[in-house]
Amino acid sequence: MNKETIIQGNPIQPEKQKKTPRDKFERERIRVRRIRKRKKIRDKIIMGFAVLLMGIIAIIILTPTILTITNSFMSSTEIMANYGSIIENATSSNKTYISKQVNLKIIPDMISFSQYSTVLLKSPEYLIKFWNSVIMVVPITVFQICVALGASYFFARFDGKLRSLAFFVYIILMLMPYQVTLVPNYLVSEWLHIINTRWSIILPGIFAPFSVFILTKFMKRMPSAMIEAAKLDGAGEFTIFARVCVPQCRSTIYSVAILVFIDYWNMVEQPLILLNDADMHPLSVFLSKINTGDVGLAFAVAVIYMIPTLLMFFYSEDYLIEGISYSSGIKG
Amino acid sequence: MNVNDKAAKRRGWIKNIAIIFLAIMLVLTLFSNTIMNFSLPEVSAQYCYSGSITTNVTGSGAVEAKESYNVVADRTFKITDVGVKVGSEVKAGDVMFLLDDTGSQDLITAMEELSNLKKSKTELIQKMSNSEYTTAMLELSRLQEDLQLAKNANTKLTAANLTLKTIEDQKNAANEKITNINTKILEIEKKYKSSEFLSDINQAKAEFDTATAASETADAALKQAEQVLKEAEKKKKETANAYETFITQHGDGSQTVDLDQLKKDLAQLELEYQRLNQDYNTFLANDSAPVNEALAKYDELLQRAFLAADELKNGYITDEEYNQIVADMNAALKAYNEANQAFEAAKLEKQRALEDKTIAINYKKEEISKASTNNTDSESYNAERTRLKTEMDNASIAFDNATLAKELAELDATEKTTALEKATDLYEILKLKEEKVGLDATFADLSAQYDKAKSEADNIQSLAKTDSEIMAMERNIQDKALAVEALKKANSDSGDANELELETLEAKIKLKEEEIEKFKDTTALSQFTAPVDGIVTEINFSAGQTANLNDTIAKIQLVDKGYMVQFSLSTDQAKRIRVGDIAKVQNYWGGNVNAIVDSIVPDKNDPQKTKIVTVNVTGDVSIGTNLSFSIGEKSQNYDMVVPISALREDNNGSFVYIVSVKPTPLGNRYTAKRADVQIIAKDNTSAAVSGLNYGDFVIVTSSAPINAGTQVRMVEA
Repeated sequence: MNKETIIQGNPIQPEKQKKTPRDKFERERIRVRRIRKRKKIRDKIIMGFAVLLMGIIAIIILTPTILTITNSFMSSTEIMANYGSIIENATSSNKTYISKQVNLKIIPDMISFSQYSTVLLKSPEYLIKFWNSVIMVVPITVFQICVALGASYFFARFDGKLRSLAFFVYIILMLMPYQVTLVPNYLVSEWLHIINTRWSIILPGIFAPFSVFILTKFMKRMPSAMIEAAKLDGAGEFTIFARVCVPQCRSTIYSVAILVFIDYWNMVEQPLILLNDADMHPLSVFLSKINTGDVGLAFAVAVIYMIPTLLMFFYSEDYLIEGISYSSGIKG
Repeated sequence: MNVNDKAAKRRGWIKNIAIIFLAIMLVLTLFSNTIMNFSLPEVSAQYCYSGSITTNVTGSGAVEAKESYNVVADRTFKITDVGVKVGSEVKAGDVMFLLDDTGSQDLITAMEELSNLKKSKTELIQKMSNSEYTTAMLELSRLQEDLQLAKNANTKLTAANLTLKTIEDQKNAANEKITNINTKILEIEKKYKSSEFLSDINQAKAEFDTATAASETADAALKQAEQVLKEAEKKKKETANAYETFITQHGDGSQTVDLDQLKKDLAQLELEYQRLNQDYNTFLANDSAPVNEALAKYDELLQRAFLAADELKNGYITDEEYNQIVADMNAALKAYNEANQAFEAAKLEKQRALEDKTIAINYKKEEISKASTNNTDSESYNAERTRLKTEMDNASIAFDNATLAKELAELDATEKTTALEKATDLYEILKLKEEKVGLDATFADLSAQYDKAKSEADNIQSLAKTDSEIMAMERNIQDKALAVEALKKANSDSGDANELELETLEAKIKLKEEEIEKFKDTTALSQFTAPVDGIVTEINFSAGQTANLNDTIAKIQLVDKGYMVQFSLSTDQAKRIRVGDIAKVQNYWGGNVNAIVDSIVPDKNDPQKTKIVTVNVTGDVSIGTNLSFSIGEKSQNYDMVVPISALREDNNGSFVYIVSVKPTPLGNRYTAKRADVQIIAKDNTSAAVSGLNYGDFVIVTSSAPINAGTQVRMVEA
């Protein structure tokens, strides 16, 4: 090729060479190697971006938790100095705080256990609220699962229009937000004379539809051959329920328990509306009123607040994952 | 180790951690309540109560005398020694200061000044003596002196006449007494012979005393004899009555009673009674049959009548038949009544006969019984009769003896009385004679005084002038004074000046003479004595210092004028007390002390806000003692009373903290809550308030400062 050829635009006529089979293979191999190498680099880049993004998201998600834990070792004065302006703006109090801007501090100026000593030693109110939460949530969780197991077994095993209608109602109720059923809930509680008692929260919690829905879905997927085999062995309905179905649902039960526990551990509306006496409020209510309460103790209380949830999760982590994957149909 | 084992192990760890966590939370819940309570302020509280508030006021001060005396130097002197000190008690005349004994400089100075003044007056008079005015002036002064002398003489004459009158009255009284005594003496002398009179008054007194004692003894004996006579008379009457009664009951033995005859009569009566009784029984048995038959017939007819009534109703019988049956029934009834009446009458008569007989039998039995006891042959009757008669005779004899003894005692008493009268007269006459001697001497003395006063009055009489003469002299002086004035006006100014100067000099001379007289009285003294009794509270001079005339050298509080205490109160406090209120002394153990509010006056230093209260104090106190008082204990009942320590105040007014209780799962929580109150009244310990409810639990004290909303804990009982 010469310059004139290119300028004139004459097509270049390559020299025809003879191709051997061995060269084709080599070339193919080189080509594949190149493709693989490019793919690897791309994957790494994508992976890197993904990791970075996830990391950022993880940091964003974990920052409040880390902040809570580290700020729980600050003294009340330091907290007021860093976050006082929030309280000044949020409340109608006439107090004026030194700091006019919020200062997010991870590392305390001086590590202090004053918050924990106040919460755990000097002010039993918070511990009372903790136990209030435990007293309300544990029975709800336990009895809701008990009720849900029976209901879901019925829904899974028996057919009929009545079953369909009831299940449909359950679904509707599950879909409704709490605010919709709040007024009827209050009226029924008042009619039963359980307003301002813990039963006004526990009883509706026990008969919540969410657990029924999840367990019904799982029980429907159980192979009917297992049940028939149990029947052939002479098992009655209760024996089938107790000896065959419930053990199979163990993972789902754990996952439902965790979800229910977390849901009711964080409840705020029900205690505020149904419990007039502030001494019966759970810890979640105190944390929801953080602006008007003792802000200097909020972080320590939050740390104590999250411990049972964490313990619950770590205890049931495997079951939770198993339950969620089984529910979604993922095998393996 | 497979995955399941690892998971199981992890779950085990987490379960242990959860259990430990919950256990720690539980333990901390328990301990935190304790620690929190420990850190809370401890308060004591009590309910409002109804009670009384005693609005009293307190004050204190030192005891002072009501009046004090400023000891003033009456001359200039130098003090060599102070004989008293503050707080010491002095009497009038006690030496307070010792003075320099060199004579009063004041006296010397005053005498020098007097001589100078006299010299000046003499020179002036000499200067003025040549003028006519001066002559007239001298004449006038002489007339004035004469008038003054006359007036003095009149005054003295009046006094002398008054003295004469007094002496004369005394003389007349003495003379009258002497006359009375003489009369009494004569009366007594008439009663007795001259040989019976005694000469020694002591002997007469002794005899009088003896006679008095004997008379009293005789009177006592007479009284005793009368008493004995009275008892004997009573005894005599009793014994006579007993004897009479015995004779009345049992006879005097002159009547004999036939006992056998009485018994026979009794037997006869009993027989008759039996016969009557038998007759009565027979009558009852026999004569009652017809009556019973009549009754039975009547009953039968009555039953028949009832049946007939039914039959008539049913129409079985006619009216005529029914009427007949009824008539028969009535006839049967009438027959029954007649028979029964006759039977009852006869029965009554027989019963009466039986009763009469029974009475006669009983009477007879009684007669027999009496006769058996009154039998004159019975020894017991005789013995009893003899005993009673003997007693009666003995009582009669005793009565006679007592009568005789009484008469003897009367005679003796009469004799003793007579002797006493005589002894009294003899003693009296000697006393009267003694008194007469004294009165004679007094009379003689009074006579001498009267003569002396009379002569003095006569002397003064010569100098005295009558009122008309005095008036004439005064008119003369007035005329002369007018003439002097006329002459004075006619004189030159120098004459006026001389006159004025002369008057001034005379006044000064008079004052100086008085001053010298005063100095003369005190100059000779080398010591200064206390003029009054009291307690020395101030001494303003010490030894070696010189006190000038009219300097206050000391202050004495007069103890006999009473004590007082003064203290100040605010106007509000003073309004609660009144003059005359009793002030109670607090915390004083020195004796009995009484105090009354005497006055409440504004304080001169701060009249708007402060009052000075003066309390009169009596009792066991001394000057300088500090006393505390509580005045005005007027108490009043109020419904809502709280302790004074519960009350607090701020800019918004008075308030108290009340305990509000809130039940929590960990027990009751106590919070201090503010309650505004209005104070109605208060004293030292309590206050009446309004604005609280009856069940409010008021915080009285706290171990730490508290505010509204502070959580507290109650003090352990």
